[in-house]
Amino acid sequence: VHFHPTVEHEDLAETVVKALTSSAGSPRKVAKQLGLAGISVPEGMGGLGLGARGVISVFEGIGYSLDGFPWLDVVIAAPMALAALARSGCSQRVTATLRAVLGGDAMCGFATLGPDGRWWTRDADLVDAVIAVGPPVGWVPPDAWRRSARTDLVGRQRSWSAPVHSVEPEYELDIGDIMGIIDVRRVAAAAIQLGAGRRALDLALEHVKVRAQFGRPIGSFQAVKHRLADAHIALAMVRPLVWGAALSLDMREKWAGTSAVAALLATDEAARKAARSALQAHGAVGYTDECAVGESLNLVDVIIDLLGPRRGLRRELAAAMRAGYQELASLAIQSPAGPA
Amino acid sequence: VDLQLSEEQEARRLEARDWLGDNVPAEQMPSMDTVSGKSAHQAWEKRLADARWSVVQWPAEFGGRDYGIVDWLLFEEEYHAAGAPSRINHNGLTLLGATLLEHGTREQARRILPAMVNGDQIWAQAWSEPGAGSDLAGVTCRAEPVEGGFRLTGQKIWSSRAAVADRGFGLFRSGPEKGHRDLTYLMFDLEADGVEVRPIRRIDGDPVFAEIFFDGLFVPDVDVIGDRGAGWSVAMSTASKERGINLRSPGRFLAVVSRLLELWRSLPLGWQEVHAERVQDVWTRTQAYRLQGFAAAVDDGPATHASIGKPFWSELDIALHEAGLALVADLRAAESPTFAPDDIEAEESTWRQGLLFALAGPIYAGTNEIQRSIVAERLLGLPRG
Repeated sequence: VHFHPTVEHEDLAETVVKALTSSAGSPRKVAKQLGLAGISVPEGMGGLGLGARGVISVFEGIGYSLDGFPWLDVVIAAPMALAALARSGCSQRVTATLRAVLGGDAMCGFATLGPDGRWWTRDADLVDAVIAVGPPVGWVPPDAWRRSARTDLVGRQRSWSAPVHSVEPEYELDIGDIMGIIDVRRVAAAAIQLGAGRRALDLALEHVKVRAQFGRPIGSFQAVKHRLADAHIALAMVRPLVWGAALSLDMREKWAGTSAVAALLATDEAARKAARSALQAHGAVGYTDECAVGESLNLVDVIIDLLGPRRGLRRELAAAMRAGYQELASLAIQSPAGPA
Repeated sequence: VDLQLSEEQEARRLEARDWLGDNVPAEQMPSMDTVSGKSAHQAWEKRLADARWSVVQWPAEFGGRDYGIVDWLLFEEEYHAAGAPSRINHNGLTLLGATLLEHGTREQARRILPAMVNGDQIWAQAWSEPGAGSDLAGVTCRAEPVEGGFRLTGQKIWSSRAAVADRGFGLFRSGPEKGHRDLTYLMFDLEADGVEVRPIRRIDGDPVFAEIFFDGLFVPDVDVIGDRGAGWSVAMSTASKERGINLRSPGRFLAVVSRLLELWRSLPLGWQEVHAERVQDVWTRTQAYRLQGFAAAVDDGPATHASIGKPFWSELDIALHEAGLALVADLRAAESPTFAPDDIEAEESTWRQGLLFALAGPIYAGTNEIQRSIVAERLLGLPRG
């Protein structure tokens, strides 16, 4: 039973934070330098095969950096989809793209079908190609994408959509492969929320220790203390859920997918709480674009929506609780099918 | 390094499950804070102790099984899942017993622990005073040094179990200094001359705690734990036990949430949807507390500090029981075929009693406000003020 990051996991997260926060590192450079695109591709296929626990270490670091690049797509979803296609037999284009992506020479985005029946992705303008996974599975050509009027909290238009028929078909993926991508993406998203929430709290702590009113640091006031303590408690208590879910995924436990959904919903709430508390602790300066608190608010606001409607996650969880309530009561100590 | 249990852990878990299945009384016992309840609970404690299930995490010499934290957590899960009675000597075992094992003399451990483990002697904790609650270092109850020991004078209050207990333990001021110094940790009789217990009734009338008045009660030197005047640090090692997973093990909440899920599933589908989010929320929080317990077994560091867990479990307990009552109300309205009207009434009363008990959680063992200040100051480094 082990829920803590090992030293290697902590080093990994730290390396990611350093690379992303140094001014020299563009996303492409960092991805190439650290081999990020390979983290969830098996070693036998040229990746690093870090497993879900390695993935969440990297993504906690990404969240802590408050870096809004579409990392969930280019580091998790697209490479996993390309690797799955490569395993089951595919076109020349897939193997070539996978090689370029793993070598850090190309970035591949990822699109899914929205409830409106169109392909949706983020930052189609920042990547070299986009693999779409429905079904059907295939490539959406760059000229098919239209920028959506949807904005994030700070007014950026980063969503793109394309008609379903624009796809240039590849071989199909089986449902197990698709679910595998979805599960890892969810637990990585939960890790982003953990990291972003922790960063928001750290920013707030720095501020309230220095900012003085009534002749003393505002961090000495109980109302401020308790709000930040609550944010800390919330983040500390969701962390084992994320680690538990990652571990369950690595162990291929029966209810691993359910743990990932629960972890994502819970970290989403904790991260929002932390970011809002950070805003309040900063006062007006936190509401300006000079302060990193805004980036934390924006990041935690957008993450869960990238993975589809929240209602869908709630439904999945409800269905699992209806079907497996007895086993779920003692989740995470089920005898696994065998180590991954 | 994984979630898998070893064969030994699995076997221990099943051994507990079997024994509890054969031995847990079918009928609910009367309240342990009444005279008839006391003897029923003492009989249960004896039964547990005879089969060495009373203190599985203690050394075999004192009736335990030398279990590690994970084994203990699993035993607790089984204990609560089996619907076994609450433990009348819980405070004695987790607070005083654990402290004696750590700080007591061998003589004290040998003299005190056997009767505590088998339920012959019931213990009450006596920390709070009228002027010292959250500010525990404000204790003024005196332990005046005399030939061979101390004489106690003053008043304690909110002393859990004191109305039925045989003995008590707590902090007393044994010198002129204020604050953390000159406090002595000692054990005393509740039925001797020089001490009087006046029960306090909870809002439902049950005498779950009491005031204790000391008027010259004699305590011999052999009943002092740790050094004279050094009681604060001894008590603090107990306080962290009082607030952490030792006080309210995850198994307790897992058992509640399992019952909650069963109620939820008994509702018609459309009604389930109304409660789905709330049920998911408390289920997820319960899992979080459980996993944090396993994390604490591996690393007893700041991430699993008792002051993080205490507000978390006490507020979870209330949320669980409020959700339970909301489900029961809808089960009644939906005229669910799974529950006869009498069953629903019994169910409702169980959840309401659970809520009443839960409402005390944010207050006892250091209020949640105190815990939040500890988190802010000691874990987050915010200035005192």
